[in-house]
Amino acid sequence: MKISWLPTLAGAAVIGTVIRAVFFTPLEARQGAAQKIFYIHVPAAWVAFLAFFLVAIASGVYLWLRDPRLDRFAESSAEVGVVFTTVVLITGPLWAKPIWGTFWAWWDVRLVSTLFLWFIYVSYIVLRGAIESPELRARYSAVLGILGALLIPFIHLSVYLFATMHPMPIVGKPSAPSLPIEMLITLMLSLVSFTLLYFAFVRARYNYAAERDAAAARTDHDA
Amino acid sequence: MLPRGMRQPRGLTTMPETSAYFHAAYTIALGIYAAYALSIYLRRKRVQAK
Repeated sequence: MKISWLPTLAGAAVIGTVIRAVFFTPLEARQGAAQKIFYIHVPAAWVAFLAFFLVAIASGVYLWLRDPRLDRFAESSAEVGVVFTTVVLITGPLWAKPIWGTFWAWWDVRLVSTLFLWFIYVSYIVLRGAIESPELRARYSAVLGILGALLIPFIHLSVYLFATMHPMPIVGKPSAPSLPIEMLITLMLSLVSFTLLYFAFVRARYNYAAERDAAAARTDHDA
Repeated sequence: MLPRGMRQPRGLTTMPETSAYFHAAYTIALGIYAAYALSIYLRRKRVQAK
């Protein structure tokens, strides 16, 4: 049996990161164990943004070159992005409840705009399933993929622009990060390991899409 | 009980007990990733069997 190095490396990195986060990273004195949700919530948000940004790039280049491999990559990255956004939308409220006293607040712009982002890319997947012609499907979904990604800078900047329960950035800010070094190392490891997991997922999903398209082409040829 | 040398945050007498939320978040997140990996694997197997 052939073992692929990328999923193996990504899986080992994620397991190692979780072990470090759970057993070897200190508890935060005010929040207790709930603060450790940070190490899966923040990387999931980072990967979701990366995934949708790459959907927009691949979609833009697809509209220029009309290469089906770019459409396949965009399709794969969008689906993986939806998975990571789902994790963001579940782990966020589970962290919010003990700290903010509520699972959800409709007036919080970052929460609601992240939910919108999730809906846009779920609709991207639904749109792809609803159009039979591969060229039309690729073109329409490329436009939606680009438009959806316009929400990403808005979500990132929402903590500066609106009243929100989310804190200001504590790591990605002009001055030095205000995290103890043990927590900062765990966060950096989690960002790297979940990014590796993203690439492993996208590669596997892309290979599936390529095999599916090849099978469909064979069926059309035989018919 | 706080570790030696760690200062108690003002207004708190003990560290809050929030481990149920922590366990739920980690279990659900890792479960979603595992389920997604399995879904890709099963879809590829189905296409390869055609």
